[in-house]
Amino acid sequence: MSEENTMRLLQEPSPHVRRKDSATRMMLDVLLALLPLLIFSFIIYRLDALKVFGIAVPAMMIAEWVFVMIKGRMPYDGEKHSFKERFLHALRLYRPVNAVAPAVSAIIFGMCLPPTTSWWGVLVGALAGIIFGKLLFGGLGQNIFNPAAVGMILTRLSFSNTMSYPAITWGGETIVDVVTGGTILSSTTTGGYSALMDVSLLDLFLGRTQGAMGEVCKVLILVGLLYLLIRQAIDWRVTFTYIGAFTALIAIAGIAIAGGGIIEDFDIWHFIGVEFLAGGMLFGATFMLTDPVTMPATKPGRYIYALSAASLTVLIRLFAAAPEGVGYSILLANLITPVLDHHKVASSRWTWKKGLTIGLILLADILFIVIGIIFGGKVK
Amino acid sequence: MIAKARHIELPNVLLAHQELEEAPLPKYCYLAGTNGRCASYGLSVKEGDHVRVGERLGLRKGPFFEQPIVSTCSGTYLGIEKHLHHTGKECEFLKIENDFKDEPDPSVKERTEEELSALTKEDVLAIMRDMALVGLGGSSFPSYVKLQGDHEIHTIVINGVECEPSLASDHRLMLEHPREIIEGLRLLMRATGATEGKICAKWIYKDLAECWSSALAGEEGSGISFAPVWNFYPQGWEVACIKTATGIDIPSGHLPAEFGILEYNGATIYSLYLAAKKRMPLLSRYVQIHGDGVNEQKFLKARIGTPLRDLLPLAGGYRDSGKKKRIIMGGPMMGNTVQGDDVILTPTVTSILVMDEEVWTADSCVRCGSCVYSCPTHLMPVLIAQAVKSGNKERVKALHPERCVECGLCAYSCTSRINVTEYVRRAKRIARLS
Repeated sequence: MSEENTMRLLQEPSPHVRRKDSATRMMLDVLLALLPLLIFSFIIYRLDALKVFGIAVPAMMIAEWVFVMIKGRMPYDGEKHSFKERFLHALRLYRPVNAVAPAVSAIIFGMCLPPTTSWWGVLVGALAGIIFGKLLFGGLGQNIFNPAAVGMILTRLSFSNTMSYPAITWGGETIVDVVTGGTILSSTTTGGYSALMDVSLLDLFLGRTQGAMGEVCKVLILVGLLYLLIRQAIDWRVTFTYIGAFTALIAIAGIAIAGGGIIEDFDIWHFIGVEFLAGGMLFGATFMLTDPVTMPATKPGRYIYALSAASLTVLIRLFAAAPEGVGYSILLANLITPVLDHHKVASSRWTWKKGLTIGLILLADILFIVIGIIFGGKVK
Repeated sequence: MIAKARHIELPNVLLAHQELEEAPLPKYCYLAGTNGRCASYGLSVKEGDHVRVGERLGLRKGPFFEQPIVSTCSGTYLGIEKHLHHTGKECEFLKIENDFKDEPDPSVKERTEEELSALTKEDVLAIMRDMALVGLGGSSFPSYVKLQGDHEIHTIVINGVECEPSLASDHRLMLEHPREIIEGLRLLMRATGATEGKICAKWIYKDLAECWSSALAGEEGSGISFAPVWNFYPQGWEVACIKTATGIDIPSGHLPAEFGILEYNGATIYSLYLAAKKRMPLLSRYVQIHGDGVNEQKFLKARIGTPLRDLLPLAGGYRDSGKKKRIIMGGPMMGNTVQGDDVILTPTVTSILVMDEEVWTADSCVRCGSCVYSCPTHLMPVLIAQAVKSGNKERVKALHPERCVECGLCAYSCTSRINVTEYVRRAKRIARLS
């Protein structure tokens, strides 16, 4: 044969095909799912939205880029290399995913903030989120905590005095006046659920209310969720377990309130609806809890993880002195991920221990909720 | 995409059912002396001897078995040459100059029906051993080993699934030789006392279902039935095939025989029929030469012992695309690359995939979990890969990498294009050594 031994043959381990798919594509899908919310916030909040995203996105992307350049720096080999050579050597590690991942984190982080957050609040939160939430652990894929959640908690705790919720106008009509104190959920810290009894569920659903930029318009979140589910960019198990467990536990709380006669003229359906639609529950379930890096890798682990997050959200919402439980509950649930992925704990199939864990978590939740409501006597 | 991978999409390897072509007999025929399992051999022929089809030329020595070397052509034995085995190893081959007469050895005599029906389990075992029958599904493990042991067998499963994407050799064999396979199966059932024989093929192959329903038309009451199975990868894996066909789940580390089941590839049963009925070795196999690296994809009936270099011109040679080529012996998921095209066809070779180079740059693992969802043995490849990187042997062993069947689904489904399978292979070595 003419080509004898002139062919250069390649040796590689099997398999020799790969699925048409990439992590970058998954993150671009998340960006695309966030797009309607992004447009919504630009329309409603205009320059405020520009400020938040205009600071958060470059801050996180630059931090990641600097990190990659440090990580990929040329080792000392006794020779002198030009700056260009060293720069290109470090740059070879910078892949598309290193650009998309921080952008996704930054937009999710921005979505969790009220539009009036001061620019230094956004900057500090974004940098702290990506550095302490991700880069210190070793960058993409190594982090324990969701960087957006870390940044959001930090900004909300440290700079809350600079936040106020602006008046919202829809087509020239003022929907909500400036209220000191923040979202509708924060009014529950003082007045309890009674303060929300006349809130319109439709307004909550459409986003005609105050709150963090991305969290108010539930319709658009659901559109994004649908897109992500169709594209299989998130694990439906986590989202649905979280939403389902949250609703079920809130319903139990509603039954306890109604049964205990704690609030007069109590409408349980309205209660469930308000708790479901107010705050960042849907947004967290769609975009933050589903970050694959910070959730367990196995099926049973993911159910336990989502259930723990839902329990914590409900308990914080009902009893804690904070209006919102989503951010905290996601961070706390992230903490149990390494445990669920420990080689002696993890299993890809259901075992009786995993089932027992789920049962115990549910039992503890129900006990806490019922005892807390009946004997505590008040729902905040 | 966080999802279980069950179907393999092939980007540019096309293949459907092409016309079968008979490849010309090779000028020189090569028979493996050593092979992937056997490291040494002894010969009973000298250089210059005349050999005939079906003649025993020597004995291959494996780790715990011996295997005769059976000639698949007639001609003059010329000596030993080194060529590549399909496993990628360089092995010693017996070179035979073909005289194109296909003169049978005197030992090649047909058995009569009475003799066939009198065969006991020990006889079948001896036939398998003496004719060097191996598992033709790809393992090339000696078939008789499965028959050893005192387990009571109730079902024999014939695996014609061939779940690797784009392979069609077993499909063709099941289509062309249903009678022979039924005869071989009946022989085996009689010898083992099994009451049920299940012939498995993918349900999407309507032509197979038709062919077999007519072939089995007079077989009611014999216990032999056609069992369509699912069309997913790896349905052809022994355990998956048995599970779909019989509903029995065989746990890792156990033999199907412990559950009363024997599983053989369709081609193995066909070669058993040839060995028992005609005392002939399997002479030829259906071989695909396909992929985007050759000019014309071909489906050939080729004599065992033919060098690949004789077959490549039939497929139009390499397609000149300016890219490096990979020659993959087997399917795209489990086949292995060889370092040169100096490969000899052995009985297990049914597919030669020539593909252009494709580069996948690995990103960081985002722990999406697709590999965990996809793994047919319920392992956690992402955790195994992490454990291998950490170098912690305890961690590696606790994750049971030895259960891996190297189907390749974890690497296939990886969203970050990491070759997870390679990490699991390393984990298997670590677990074995420590």
